[in-house]
Amino acid sequence: MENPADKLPSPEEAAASWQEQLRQELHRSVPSAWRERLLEELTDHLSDLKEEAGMETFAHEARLGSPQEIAAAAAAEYRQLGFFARRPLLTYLVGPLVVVPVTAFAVVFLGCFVFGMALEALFWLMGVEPPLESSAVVANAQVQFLAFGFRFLPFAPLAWFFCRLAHRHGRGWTSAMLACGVIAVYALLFTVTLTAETAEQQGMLMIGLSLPFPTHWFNYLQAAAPLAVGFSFLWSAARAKRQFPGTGPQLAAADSES
Amino acid sequence: MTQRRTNPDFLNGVPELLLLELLSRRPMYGYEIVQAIRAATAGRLDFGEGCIYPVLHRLEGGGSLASQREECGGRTRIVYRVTAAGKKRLADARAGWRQVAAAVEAVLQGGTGGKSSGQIAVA
Repeated sequence: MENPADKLPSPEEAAASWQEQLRQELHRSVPSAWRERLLEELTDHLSDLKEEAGMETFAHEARLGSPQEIAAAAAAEYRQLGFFARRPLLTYLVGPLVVVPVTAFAVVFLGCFVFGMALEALFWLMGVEPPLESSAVVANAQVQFLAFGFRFLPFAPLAWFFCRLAHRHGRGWTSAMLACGVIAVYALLFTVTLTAETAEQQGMLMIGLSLPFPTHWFNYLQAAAPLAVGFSFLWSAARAKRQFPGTGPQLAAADSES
Repeated sequence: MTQRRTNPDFLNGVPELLLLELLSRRPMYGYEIVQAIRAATAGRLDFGEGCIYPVLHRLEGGGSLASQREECGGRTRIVYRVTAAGKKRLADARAGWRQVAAAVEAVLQGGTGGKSSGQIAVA
């Protein structure tokens, strides 16, 4: 006659069943990157428990918790993460793709508006008419200076913003450099042409992307600005990590899309 | 039949404080952290050990912890350490906990209120 005890699963089978059940529970509650990482660490933990002296046959569930409990905890903790931490690809790839052109155009238009208003106010305060004819050269120099600023202004600060964001949310270096790369491509293609209003011609503002490749060397300088921000961020992070292990951004941590 | 021994109080903000505090002393991997909690609390806190990993992952996702694969005891482990942001978070959590503990202690000592210099917001 068959002994009922023979039908009981072995400790290994029970552990494997527990892991499989946990995998299924996690499949419903957290993204794959979280799931695989959690399973890897729990498998390690299980091995440690097995090595621990006096470990009972089925005590792994009593020590680690049931698959349902762990999956519920994982889902709760995952929900507590902010949007930027939960959606790295959306944040560091799609984010710059959308934010950079909007910001660049906004900066140029707002900059022109503010600059124009400031000039108007200045002439009004001085009680003189804007000198369209006499100082066209000066006016052109002013707008060229303005255009020069526009070509750098949105990109370097945006690169810094995304690097800071990656740092704050504990992302690896790939997230920061991905964002800087997207910004650099925009900067490479971005072109602004400003012409001052004179007696002979109307003022003109042209914004666009020089496709397929920019021919002016200045565009390459523009692209270098966000990349320089990204690399300086990496450099300072690596230095902080060497001096104070564990305090810098996680250069060694592998990025994983949630 | 296994019996769940998870203390619900442990799951309300305290794990974060404990994990940050212990990891601020030295980098550790998950099993080591559990052992450290048991040793430091003389086993008074009873919790599902598997539940610390999601907390660790959330703290890492929030930038308070950094992790690295390292060779420990013949196996490759994921070792956690506190970042600069984590140290700041720990300082805030410590201060918050001390305020709460002092407030609760004041109540337990029969305090009637109105003498405290600050207020504590309980979410």
